[in-house]
Amino acid sequence: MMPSWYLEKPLGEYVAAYNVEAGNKIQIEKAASGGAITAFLCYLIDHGAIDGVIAAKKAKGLEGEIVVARTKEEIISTAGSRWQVLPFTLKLKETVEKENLNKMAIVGLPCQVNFLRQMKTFPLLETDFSNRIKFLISLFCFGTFAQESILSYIKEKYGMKASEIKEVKISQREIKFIGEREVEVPFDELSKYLQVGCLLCPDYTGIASDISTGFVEDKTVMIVRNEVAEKMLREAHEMNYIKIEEITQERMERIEKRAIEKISRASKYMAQIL
Amino acid sequence: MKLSVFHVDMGGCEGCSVALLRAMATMETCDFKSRLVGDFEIEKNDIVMVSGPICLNEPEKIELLKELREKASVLIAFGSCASVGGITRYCRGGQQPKPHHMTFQPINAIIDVDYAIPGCPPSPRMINPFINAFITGKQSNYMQIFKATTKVKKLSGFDLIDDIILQNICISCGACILSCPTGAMHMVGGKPDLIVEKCIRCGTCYVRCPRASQLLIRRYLK
Ligand SMILES: Cc1cc2nc3c(=O)[nH]c(=O)nc-3n(C[C@H](O)[C@H](O)[C@H](O)COP(=O)(O)OP(=O)(O)OC[C@H]3O[C@@H](n4cnc5c(N)ncnc54)[C@H](O)[C@@H]3O)c2cc1C
Ligand code: SF4
Ligand code: SF4
Ligand code: SF4
Repeated sequence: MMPSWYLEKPLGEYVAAYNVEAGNKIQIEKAASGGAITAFLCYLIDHGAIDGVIAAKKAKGLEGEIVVARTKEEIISTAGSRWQVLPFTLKLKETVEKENLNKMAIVGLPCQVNFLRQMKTFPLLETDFSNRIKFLISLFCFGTFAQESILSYIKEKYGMKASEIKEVKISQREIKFIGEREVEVPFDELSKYLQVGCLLCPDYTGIASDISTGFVEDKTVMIVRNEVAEKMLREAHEMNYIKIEEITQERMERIEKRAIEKISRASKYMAQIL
Repeated sequence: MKLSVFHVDMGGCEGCSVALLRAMATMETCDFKSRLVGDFEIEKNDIVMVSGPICLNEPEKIELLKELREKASVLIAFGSCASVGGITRYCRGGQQPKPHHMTFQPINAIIDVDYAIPGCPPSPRMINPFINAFITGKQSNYMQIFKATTKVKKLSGFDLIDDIILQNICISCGACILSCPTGAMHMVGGKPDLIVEKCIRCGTCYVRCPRASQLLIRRYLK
């Protein structure tokens, strides 16, 4: 039912994979964040590899919004996970034009990175800003939620009110709601609140990215998909922005297993929709 | 050997033709001929690109289209009118010189098409990588979307609403909004909504939506 290449390579093409943490060059104080991506983005901006980042920032409450960050401080303020798909809108296009950004990195979920890669490969519109995108970073994703229902579930089952939740940390098998106290809920317990559109999505790691990243058993993992990205990651490591170490085969297998689960789920639901 | 690329416009607004001419001016790997600039014979061609819709009341045009198909290794419907009807889907007849209601069709009404590229017009920047794929033999997965699009005769914001929003499989990513050339899509209550008067039925939002493009491929290619 799914394109054959999905099952042949559930994690897509890649050249290397690492455990990564922020190095001591960058101070990131966010409960929910290992800060590896943030630290890497800081390296890219400090060394002129990029002139801006499109990432997600906390707006009000648990809501997030897509923003353009041009300085290290602005990048650091976007650290941590927003737990929704945040829409690209015309405002983003306008900002990119107005600020005259020409070498951007974009962080997004696999569906968004897939769209951006499509736009970059085949810019159908004159106004597509695809040639300004230098770097696509995908977060791993097993699905996003219908927020209202999940918040009322957490309140009922765990007694934690929406207003108490300050940060949400999503890892491979758990979601942690962080405030004065922490509530950790297995991902699968919340599956019934997933957006239907996500049930059709076959891409766990974001195969169209330059670098894909997730949080597996309390450590950030990065899957590096081409030589340019690999070189930059190594330089960031040498200059103490991040610390990288080779990942074990066993950890990679666990990520692959999760990716295959997502492909099977998509196959099943796609058959129902068609 | 250079790739022979032949272009014929069936009577569109010429936006697509201009996009092609702009792109081809810098493609040194191709031997490009357009009927727009000379009355070239139709020979055997590696790639034939057709822009504009086909008028069902013009037998010569229909014969021309069939001949182009016969002589092409790969035939591409270029732009919204040729591929999915585009703005001509709104033709109601009565205009001078009097095309009748539904006289215009995308070219797949008459011939088999290998790739259909929506866009009003598709930007010149997308043409080089597309043609290059045939030169290098390295086809991007995204080309599957354009292959699947050959199987439909309409594609628009209306279809996006029907297939994605109303089926509740929209994930609110906003790709459609970012991709609409006329600003016909906007967010209402966290989901895209169509301003019907602004939709020119170009199909861009549909092929750009992560869910809709996936549906297209699964429905028509797998
Ligand atoms: C909705 C969601 C689901 C996830 N699901 C999984 C999963 O199933 N398995 C797994 O291993 N990892 C998952 N992750 C990734 C994981 O939670 C971490 O974000 C990732 O490992 C990066 O960690 P970090 O500490 O290096 O990031 P940080 O240094 O904190 O940087 C994170 C970057 O991501 C950006 N960002 C955060 N949220 C969003 C968003 N919603 N849209 C766009 N950009 C955003 C931030 O602006 C920041 O630039 C998910 C993340 C999100 C947002
Ligand atoms: S599961 Fe897929 S569609 Fe849903 S948010 Fe994640 S990447 Fe996007
Ligand atoms: S909504 Fe916009 S992109 Fe979609 S078909 Fe209509 S005009 Fe084209
Ligand atoms: S592109 Fe598709 S999934 Fe994304 S917001 Fe538009 S309709 Fe929804």
